[in-house]
Amino acid sequence: MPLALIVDDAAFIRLRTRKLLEENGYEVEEAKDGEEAIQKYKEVSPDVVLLDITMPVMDGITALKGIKSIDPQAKVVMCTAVGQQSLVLEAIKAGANDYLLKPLDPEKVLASVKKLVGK
Amino acid sequence: MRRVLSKEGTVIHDRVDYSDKELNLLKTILAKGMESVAQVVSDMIGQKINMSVPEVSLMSYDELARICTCDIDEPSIGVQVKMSGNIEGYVALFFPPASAYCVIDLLLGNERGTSSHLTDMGGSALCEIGNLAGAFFLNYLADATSLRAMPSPPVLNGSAVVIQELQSFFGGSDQSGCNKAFVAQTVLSYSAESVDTLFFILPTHESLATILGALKKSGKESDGGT
Repeated sequence: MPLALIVDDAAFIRLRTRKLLEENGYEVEEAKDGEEAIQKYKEVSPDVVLLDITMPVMDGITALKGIKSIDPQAKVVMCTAVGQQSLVLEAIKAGANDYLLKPLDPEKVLASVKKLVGK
Repeated sequence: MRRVLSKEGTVIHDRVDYSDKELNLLKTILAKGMESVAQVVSDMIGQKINMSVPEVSLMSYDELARICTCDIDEPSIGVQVKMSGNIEGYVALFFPPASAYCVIDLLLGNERGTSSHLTDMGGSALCEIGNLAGAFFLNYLADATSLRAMPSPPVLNGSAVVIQELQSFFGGSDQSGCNKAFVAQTVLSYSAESVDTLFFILPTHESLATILGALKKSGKESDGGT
């Protein structure tokens, strides 16, 4: 069963996304900020990471760079409400595989995750 | 905005007396930003949301505090998001408790009337609305002006605490010498429920000058907006 790591400071979003992914055959781990995400990535090596940008302690762009430095092949989908073009470009440049705008469309989340993990 | 210069030509004081044209321009851009927020909140909640015509005014903090109590005895619940970058200031939402519980039930998929107090998960759901409001307002502004600013993670507090923080922020950082906040306000109403949310955008006076400058530079001032 593919493993997804959900990184978001909002418990509400983690709950919603966890439910969606578990109902569609994924195992799920969670982290509530960028620092915890990097730690969790080292521990569980997820198949895909869903990563928010605006978070306390460490933001998503910094966490993305940290994850990519550990595993350049890491599959990361940015899931954020911040859609400013310059930020999207920065995330793609830092190695993000996809960029989804909140509020998250369940079909788009599943399509993106499936595409990246091949399930 | 009129600027008073020292003999050396350094701006020492921004008097907050906008021309009618500038005020209309700011009102238009803030109102359009608010409309984009109303749309995304509507998408998130899955309910049609009506937005009152936004009002733009200079408001004392006492007046702001009075409005944010929503004229009820029970303190309202506030969500604040700080904007930083080219644009500084706050986006703030105030929910009367009954509205907050209704919105939480909608977001969590509960039956209406399930929530009667604020849980961690309910607070997180309200914060997510604040997160969307801050982010989508700045997304709109970035599209319209090419200015870049980031929202902070949302913070949930009682309305009195939010007002104190706003006053502290503006009192400490605003060089205009103005003891009033420039406030764009509207009311979001949910069609199926008789609940309202007060939605405020409070840019610093310096940020308003930046927005006006960017609009003038991009030539969008002539038609009163974007």
